Amino acid sequence: MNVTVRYMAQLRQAAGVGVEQIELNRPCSVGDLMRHVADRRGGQFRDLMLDAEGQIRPAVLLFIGDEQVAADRPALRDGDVATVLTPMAGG
Amino acid sequence: MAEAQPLTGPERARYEWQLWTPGFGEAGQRRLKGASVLVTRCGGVGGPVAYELAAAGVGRLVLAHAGNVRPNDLNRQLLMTEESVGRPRMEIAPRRLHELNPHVEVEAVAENVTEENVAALVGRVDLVAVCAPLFRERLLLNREAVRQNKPLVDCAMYDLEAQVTVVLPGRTPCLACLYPAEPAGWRREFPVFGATAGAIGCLGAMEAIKVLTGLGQPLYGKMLLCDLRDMTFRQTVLKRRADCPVCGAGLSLA
Repeated sequence: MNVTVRYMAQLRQAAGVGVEQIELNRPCSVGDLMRHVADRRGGQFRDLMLDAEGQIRPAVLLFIGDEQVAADRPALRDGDVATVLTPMAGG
Repeated sequence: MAEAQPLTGPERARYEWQLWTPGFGEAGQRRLKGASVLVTRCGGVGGPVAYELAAAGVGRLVLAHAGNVRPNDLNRQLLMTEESVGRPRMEIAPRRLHELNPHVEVEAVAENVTEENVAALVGRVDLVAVCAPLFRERLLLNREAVRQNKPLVDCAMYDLEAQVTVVLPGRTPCLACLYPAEPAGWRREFPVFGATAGAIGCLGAMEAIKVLTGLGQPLYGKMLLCDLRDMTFRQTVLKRRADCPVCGAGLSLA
């Protein structure tokens, strides 16, 4: 199945792209997917996404469609658009 | 919320074009005149928030921002001027607001939000506009707004992206639901144009006006995500954390 992932803020800068298509072999959560992508990309992307224990950082906001979701549920479905938003602030 | 205040003839003339807004009118203007807003800080986002609230006729603004104007503030901090470089921000900001609208009461506090001052700052107003670059300040404001049951508008940006949301304590997610702790390694400098900061600041000001006057549908529990690179604007629905230490279920609010 295929999903679309949109990156925002610093994560977009670290990824070098704002959106990518990902093919999944099995259902998984956004958190599972991002842990996998972060491990594969490494570097600043990984540092932005994962803490020292390899868990999704609590301040990273995850969405499927327009609904905020937890890292570990629900499972992504074919055609879903996920958004990953690293923290922004004012100033 | 404070009581609505009657309007003078000059005020009706000044606000004429917004008095024509369906759902607002004289009743809305009077509510706005009776209302007060804390804007902190008053930089790229907060400056436009304060300016638009002054333009709209909010009754009182409390501004909080420490330090002096720097040259690299001037790409986005629209209350500051070339001449004010090196001078305290809270010296120029009230003057600039009063040049636009002398009817607005402005209290300028030359401090950023701290544990020591946050309760008093939030206690002086009806609504909090969070425009700060440091999560420590945002989370303090959030905690205090929830404790005092005051609505909060939060604006943020990075590069050409921006976000705005409205917190209604006890009903919507609060900022601690979204950001349970200060993000590790957070850097307060980031790429941004004044037009992006100004855009989200103006949207934040409009949200504040809506909350204070009952106009339209504020972004209660929703976050508007803006991408000015391709002009994609999306509303997302946020989730409360049941175990949020600030607003979690089972905690009583003051």
